[in-house]
Amino acid sequence: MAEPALLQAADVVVRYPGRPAVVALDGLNLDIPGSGITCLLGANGAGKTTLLEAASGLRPLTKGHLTVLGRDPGSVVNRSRLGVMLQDGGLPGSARPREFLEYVARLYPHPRGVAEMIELVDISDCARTPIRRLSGGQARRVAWAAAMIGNPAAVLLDEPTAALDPVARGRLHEVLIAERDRGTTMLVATHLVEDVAAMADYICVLRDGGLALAGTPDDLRPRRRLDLHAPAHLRLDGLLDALPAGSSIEESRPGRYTVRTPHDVDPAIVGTVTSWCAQHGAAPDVSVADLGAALHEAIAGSASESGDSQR
Amino acid sequence: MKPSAPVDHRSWLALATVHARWVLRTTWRNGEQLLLVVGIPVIALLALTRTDLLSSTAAPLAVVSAMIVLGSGFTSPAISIAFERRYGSYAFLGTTPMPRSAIIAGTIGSIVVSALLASAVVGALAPVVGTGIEPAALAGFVAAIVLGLFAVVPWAFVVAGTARAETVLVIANAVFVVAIVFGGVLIPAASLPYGAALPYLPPGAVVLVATGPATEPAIASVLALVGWAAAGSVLATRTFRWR
Repeated sequence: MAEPALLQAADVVVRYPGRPAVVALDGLNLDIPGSGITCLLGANGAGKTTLLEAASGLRPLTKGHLTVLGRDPGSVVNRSRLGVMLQDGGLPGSARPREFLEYVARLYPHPRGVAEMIELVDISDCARTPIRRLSGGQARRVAWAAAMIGNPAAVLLDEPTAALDPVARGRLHEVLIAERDRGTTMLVATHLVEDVAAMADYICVLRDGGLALAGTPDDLRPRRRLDLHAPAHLRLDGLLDALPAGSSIEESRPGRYTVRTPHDVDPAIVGTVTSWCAQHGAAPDVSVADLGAALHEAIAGSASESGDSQR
Repeated sequence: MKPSAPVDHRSWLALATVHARWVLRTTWRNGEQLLLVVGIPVIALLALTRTDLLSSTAAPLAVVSAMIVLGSGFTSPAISIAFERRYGSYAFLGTTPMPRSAIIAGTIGSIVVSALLASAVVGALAPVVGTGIEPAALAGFVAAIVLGLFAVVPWAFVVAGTARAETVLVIANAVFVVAIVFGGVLIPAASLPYGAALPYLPPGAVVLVATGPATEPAIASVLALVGWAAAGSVLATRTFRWR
């Protein structure tokens, strides 16, 4: 039997009342697969947290239809099968991590062991410290353990790597990948492209409450683009003539050029760009654009619609 | 995704019990909460019976019953619930199998158990300090506490569910002090210009019920407590915000 999608959104609108009202999700249409790690990427205010809260049953929709694991968000069945890590943690400040995890474990029919989770998220040294005295990173790890302790089929994690130092972030990436390999489906909201590069099997980029981009990392990796570092304000008409018809060149910042081609970049195109620059006294740094660059563009909405130069 | 095991659930009662135990554990470990729930009633009992520091025309157990009701049933839970809201704990629980009704039931259950434990401590101490509990006085003491909790607990939810945690901290503590001093508990109602109204407000009503549950004035106070309970419940249902 086919796995149900983790999340399906059809024309979802969430509006926060006020003057003026804030539209957090604006006609969002989205399908998130029922396996692997999906990273939900976007700038602050893009709608990530609102979508996760709506999927958790905490935020009512103004309009549209949303299902999680094939059921209404917040349904009794989903609350047993879904683990959630909220952006603000939701941890009682006076409690200690160990006792809090013991309490949360008792809410589920088949929880994982508390000791196992404490070791997994590496909070043994602070398991008996009141949560309000933990560092931001330690508190995030407790919240993550609380989301996982019910042995859920799927988890929704809102900014799990926020407040973590690079070493702890790398460790959490490893843990999440191991959990995925155990069969847990994950939706991870983040604003860090680094998180996506480390663990995403599927990527959704939200912008202004709508879907800007979705696909696997392979789908989204730009193949028709070169990034060129060279002296600023070069006249590139000659280079454009040497490139295939339909190419364009944009100087996004002084000395930073983006070359877009009508078909996949091949060694011949890289050679053309390199040799043209060399002939014109520039020592360029040419690289095929990576996934991160494409995601940054999608987040900011700065994908070049028109270059400085275009053929 | 993990193979779909049949989804089973812990029963509503089991979940409410888990939550009640959790709230009890965190309440009785917190020094300020413990002071409100049991410390002040015990100190008041000692002060009323063994010293001249505190005096009241009401019987010591009647005064203490009002303190237990207000401390265990209003001030302590209002502060605790308000801070849980601020921490987002209820939002997190809303994503777990725990239904909201079980959170409320568990919280109320923990309040009742806290008040009973405080009452047991006071009841055990009363004979030691020379305030023997006659069967009639015991009935009044228990009735006052049960009815008083019934009346004030919904108002703890009203205050905690609408205001910021810091504001609740101030309001809940102020209500406790004002109610004990000026609510017909320590200062006799007859000495206060608004004394005629006090038998119908929770603190004064609790004292009257505790003093003589079968008397005519106490019956009016019982009805008043039921009215406070009904009004508070309706208001709590309409105004309580989980986050």
